[in-house]
Amino acid sequence: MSGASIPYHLRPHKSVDRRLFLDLLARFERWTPLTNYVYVSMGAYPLEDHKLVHRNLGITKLIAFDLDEEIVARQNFNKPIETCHCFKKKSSELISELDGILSECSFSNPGGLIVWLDYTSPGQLGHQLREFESLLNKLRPGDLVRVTVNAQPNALLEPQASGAAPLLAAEKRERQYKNIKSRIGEFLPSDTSPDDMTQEGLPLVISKSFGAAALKAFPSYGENIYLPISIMRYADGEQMLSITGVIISRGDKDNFIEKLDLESWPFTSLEWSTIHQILVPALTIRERLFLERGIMTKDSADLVQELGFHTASDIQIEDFLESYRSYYRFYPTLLSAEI
Amino acid sequence: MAITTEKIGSAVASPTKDFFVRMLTRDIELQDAILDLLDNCVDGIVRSGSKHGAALPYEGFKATISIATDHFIIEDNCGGIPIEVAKKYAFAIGRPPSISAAPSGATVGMYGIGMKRAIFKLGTDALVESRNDIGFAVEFTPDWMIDDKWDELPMYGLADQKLQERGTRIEIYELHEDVKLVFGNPSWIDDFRKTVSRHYSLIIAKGFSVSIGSPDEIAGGIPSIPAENFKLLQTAAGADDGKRIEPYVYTGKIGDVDVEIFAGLYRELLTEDEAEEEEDTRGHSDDAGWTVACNDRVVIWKDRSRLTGWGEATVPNYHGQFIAITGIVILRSDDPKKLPLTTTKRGIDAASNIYSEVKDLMRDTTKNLTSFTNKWKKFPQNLQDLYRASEYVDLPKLRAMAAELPMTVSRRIDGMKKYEPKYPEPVQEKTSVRVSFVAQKSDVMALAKSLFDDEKAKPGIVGEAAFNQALKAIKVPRK
Repeated sequence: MSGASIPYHLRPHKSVDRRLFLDLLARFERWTPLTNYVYVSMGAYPLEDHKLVHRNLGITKLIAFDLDEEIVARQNFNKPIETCHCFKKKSSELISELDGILSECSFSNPGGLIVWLDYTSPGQLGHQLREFESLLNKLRPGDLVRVTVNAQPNALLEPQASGAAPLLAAEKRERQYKNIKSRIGEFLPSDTSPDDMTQEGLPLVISKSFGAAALKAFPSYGENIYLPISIMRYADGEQMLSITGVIISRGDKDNFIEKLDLESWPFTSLEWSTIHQILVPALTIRERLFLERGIMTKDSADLVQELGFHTASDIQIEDFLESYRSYYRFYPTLLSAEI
Repeated sequence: MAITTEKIGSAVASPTKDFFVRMLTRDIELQDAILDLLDNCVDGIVRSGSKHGAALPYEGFKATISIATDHFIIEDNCGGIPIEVAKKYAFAIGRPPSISAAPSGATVGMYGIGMKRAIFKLGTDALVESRNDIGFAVEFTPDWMIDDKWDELPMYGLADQKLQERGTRIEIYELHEDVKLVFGNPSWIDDFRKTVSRHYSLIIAKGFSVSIGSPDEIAGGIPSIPAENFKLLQTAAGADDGKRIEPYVYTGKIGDVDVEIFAGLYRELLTEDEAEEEEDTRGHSDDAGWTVACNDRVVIWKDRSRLTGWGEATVPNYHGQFIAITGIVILRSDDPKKLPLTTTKRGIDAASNIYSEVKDLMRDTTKNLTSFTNKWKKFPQNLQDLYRASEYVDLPKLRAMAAELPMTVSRRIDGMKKYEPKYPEPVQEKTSVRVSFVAQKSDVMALAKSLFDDEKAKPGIVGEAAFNQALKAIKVPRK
């Protein structure tokens, strides 16, 4: 589980991604109130997202799960409220036992479900797609599903023997393609080729594969659809892709988009091929406050000039400013504190 | 039987058009209906006399399918419909017996309903234009569709600049509501492309080109669909006994049908860990199973059910351990009625005599291959030795190989030759035995900590190390 052991506050991209998810949920309330929803996610030991949805949205029906007993024990210690139930389950078990788990928690009649499958293991992409499909098969209109998966091309390679000569880029892409095909062949877009095995290309391939899985769960002629709302990629180390969508009746789709004013939300993805990138360099407080004041009025080149430097944490400031303009409100400011 | 009383009137006995259209389209899926239109393109090439046996007999022939929420267009350059054929039966439902008996070449169309059924399935307004000898256009109008009379359809001349390459163009408008929904979904269109890359894999490999997309994608020159290839693993001969992994091959004739069967492994067997995972949920995209093609058209794709002999007679049911086993059956005949084709061309006429003979051979092969994986299941750590110098053999190469292999004749089926290789067996099978048992997690962890200073060492490895230590202890004489 790469990244799982890095403390959350050292993963600024994930933090922004999560904040944007909350922003989206707040918008979702224009469609239907979330207070009676059940929130289900792995949560890891700190239950960070459970705390956030509880504090920000007032959701009290919380479910967390993990396959490690120790982590579940720690979740039980860290849970924000007593109505947060923590289970020792694999994600596949959680999905197949979902109805039973809800009634065990006395959440049998919720307003809806928000499920976040926050996967980490790149080798399990095949399982992850199939779990996503079987989860969709258990849900109904109004339910939200979010998945996060690894989208790092190099994660598709077997580790090389130490001392071996590095692979040529073309060889590497060939192997990555072969591996992804063997894992998720039936979901892969028909035009996928080794040339797609890049930092930009792979998230697109994976996103469309989830689109294919959604189609299997909700056929084109059916009454309901899984509508992607927001698809983002970001990298705290390895690149991740997170997809958020809603199950909705086909007839409600246009009304839903209009009510949430998704056309004006900068991170909307109503197509599987629309993927937003989040770039979050570590800024000092002085830099952040400077940018925040000017970001809505000045253009990027002027801001960079006034800063007097072009890169931060290996990220081009100008590239970053493009997306920062949309999410600056959620930029995490982390202070070290002694308690 | 003769009635002698006076006739007093007549009773309507013809089908209503609405009933007929609904019955005809009910049991076919949309994708299969569109594939029927593609089949017509390919049959056009075959009828116009492409050479069987040439490496790329369909090169230069293409079909383009444009899909939008308000219309559907398929256009090909595959020879078009001769005017006499159009007048007599291309637009009739079913073929008159006189036509049906005539030899058609190795086509897949045989019932004479494909085009009409596809049009009815998609919408209520269609224009068919074609040029072989004399170009013509025929329109199905919404009025004709709802009218209960089976009036003949008027034919019109075709403007000279249209379809100059000789081919057919079918445009369909007034799409049904469910069809509109499906056509508006890019994921569905991509799924259809995948269906074509499978069911047309042999035809595309022979040079036929199919492009499918939205009008914009077609205008932008979307690349044609690649074939999903069939290939089998072959390894170098073992040092001592010459045994190796190589394809099973059967070729010959059953009645008027040419039969080719190739089977074997398409990937390495699962490792111990992978096998354990597969037991839990399916994690690998799996290409296992039997593919069957009739006159190059794939009608069964990677099937693992009784339809292809799995779980019948002594063959075990398919499960994850058999993930590497695959095979292809290629049936060919100049008289398509001899082939076990169904009207939807998805699945097979399992009751046909020819298929039941072929299935016996398929079952034998599957049985041999499952025994092979069963033997190795016990010794997964030695699997790597199996794949010395492994390479893939594709279909053209398999066919070339068949001519050189030391084939033997089949005792049961006259005219069939076969090559049934002996696969390597684990040497330890006679001297070794598998040990497995269940233990307390905490005990395994304690042992792992003591043996490897790593609580997370794999239980199998911990067990083996503990066993070896115990063994060493009794073998070393105590002082």
